[in-house]
Amino acid sequence: MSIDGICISLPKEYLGLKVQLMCDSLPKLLLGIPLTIELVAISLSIGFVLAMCIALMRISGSRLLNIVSRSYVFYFRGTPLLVQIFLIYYGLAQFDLIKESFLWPFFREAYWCGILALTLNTGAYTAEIIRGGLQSVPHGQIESARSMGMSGILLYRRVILPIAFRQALPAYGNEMILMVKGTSLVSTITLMEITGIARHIIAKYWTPVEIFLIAGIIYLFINYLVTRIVRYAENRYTPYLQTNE
Amino acid sequence: MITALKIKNLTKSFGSLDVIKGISLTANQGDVICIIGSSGSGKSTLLRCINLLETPDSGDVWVNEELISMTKNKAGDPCPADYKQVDRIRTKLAMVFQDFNLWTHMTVLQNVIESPIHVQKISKQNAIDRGYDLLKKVGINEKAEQYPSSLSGGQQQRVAIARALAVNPDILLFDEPTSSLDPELVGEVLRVMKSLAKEGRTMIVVTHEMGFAKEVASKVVFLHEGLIEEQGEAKEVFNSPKSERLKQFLASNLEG
Repeated sequence: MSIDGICISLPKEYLGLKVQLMCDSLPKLLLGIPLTIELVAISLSIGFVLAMCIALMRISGSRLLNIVSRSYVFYFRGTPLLVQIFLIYYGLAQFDLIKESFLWPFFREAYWCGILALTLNTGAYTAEIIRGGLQSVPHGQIESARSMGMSGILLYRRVILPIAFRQALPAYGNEMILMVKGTSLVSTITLMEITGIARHIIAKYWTPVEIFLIAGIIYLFINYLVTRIVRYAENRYTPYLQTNE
Repeated sequence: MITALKIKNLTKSFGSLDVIKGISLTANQGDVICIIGSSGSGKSTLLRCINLLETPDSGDVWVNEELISMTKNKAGDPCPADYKQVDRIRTKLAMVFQDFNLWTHMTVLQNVIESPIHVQKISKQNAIDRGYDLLKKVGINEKAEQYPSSLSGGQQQRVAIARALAVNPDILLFDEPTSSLDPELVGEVLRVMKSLAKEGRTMIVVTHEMGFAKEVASKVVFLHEGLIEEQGEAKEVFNSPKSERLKQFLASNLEG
């Protein structure tokens, strides 16, 4: 049976909610999922690499790098994501330097502005998560690695980073979930992800409760999957930390 | 015979605290040297200066008659001249720590084969075969696939010994290997250490286990406030101590 068929067979209204409209809107809202996931995936990936650099700058011991890294984290953690999105989307266009540069084709697009804002935002939080992970690596395990002839990149690659990432996994799972929700804000700069589509439908039928209810359920479902993925990763990589619930 | 380890006029201070005030020591191949002394006497620091986990302020260390070359950094503090040499020599000087320091994210077997594969570039299959042999030797091969956190302290320390043996070291450094263990677990670790001594391995052991020192040591060194107060064969040191401090130390440590 097609979705139309299902919708018509439902009552028109239930508890004051326009049930048929909700049912009709579901496929439209589902069409927003790919963009939401794309935004999350791209900004988390680039943001992670960025965060890695920022975290290493922070612990590098160089005063200059340390200040750069701290200022970046301070700014992007201290201001709302929405403000960052607006500043990038509306702000960058004010500078002729950028308008004339090769970057303009990118920053002209709401899509890339959204990605940039989300990336910089998650980069700051993730940098702190990684720093926390790095600092929680037990000193004794680093010493034993040194005493076995490991140093430099090998020491980081085989011992310090694997332990740090494992320690950071629960906190990073949190950040992934925040990012899924954070993408809803780029609807304010015309991007038609789940929330963008929801707002579009609401503008037409003025049914905010019905539509946001559906949108909320879709986010819940995506984050349920994220939670499962993180849980899987924890079981896979830190079986020794897991308790059987 | 090659001198396995030679230390000459080693000093180390932390801030204004002089921990090692000039120690010279020689170990021949097959020697088991037990370093004893009360806490704060510099035993562990001395051991950690040998494999440069602490950088000595002055003095020289030779391993297999190869001098570890030192220089000064920009701030004027001593540092190794050649870090590659340090990495190489460290695999000749495997260390067993008080707190085991096994890598928690690796299984028992992975802990043992890590350094052979990634530092010494031994083929994985060889390392695994050898790893199982060593785990068998310390009596823990059945736990090879488990993570260290599921093992008892004594088992973890035996894994740590297997891990140290895996790099095929010339000298084993033990830093109070039984001090973190519950009393009933001390025996299993000491048994493994005794069997290593019997094999003729060169061992430098910082320990509070006087019974072990008495039975196994070819030489006992008593440290007091950063200096060697007395040293000699185990029998001499334990049966006829000369210095007043050693007599006191033994009196309070040999009770029971």
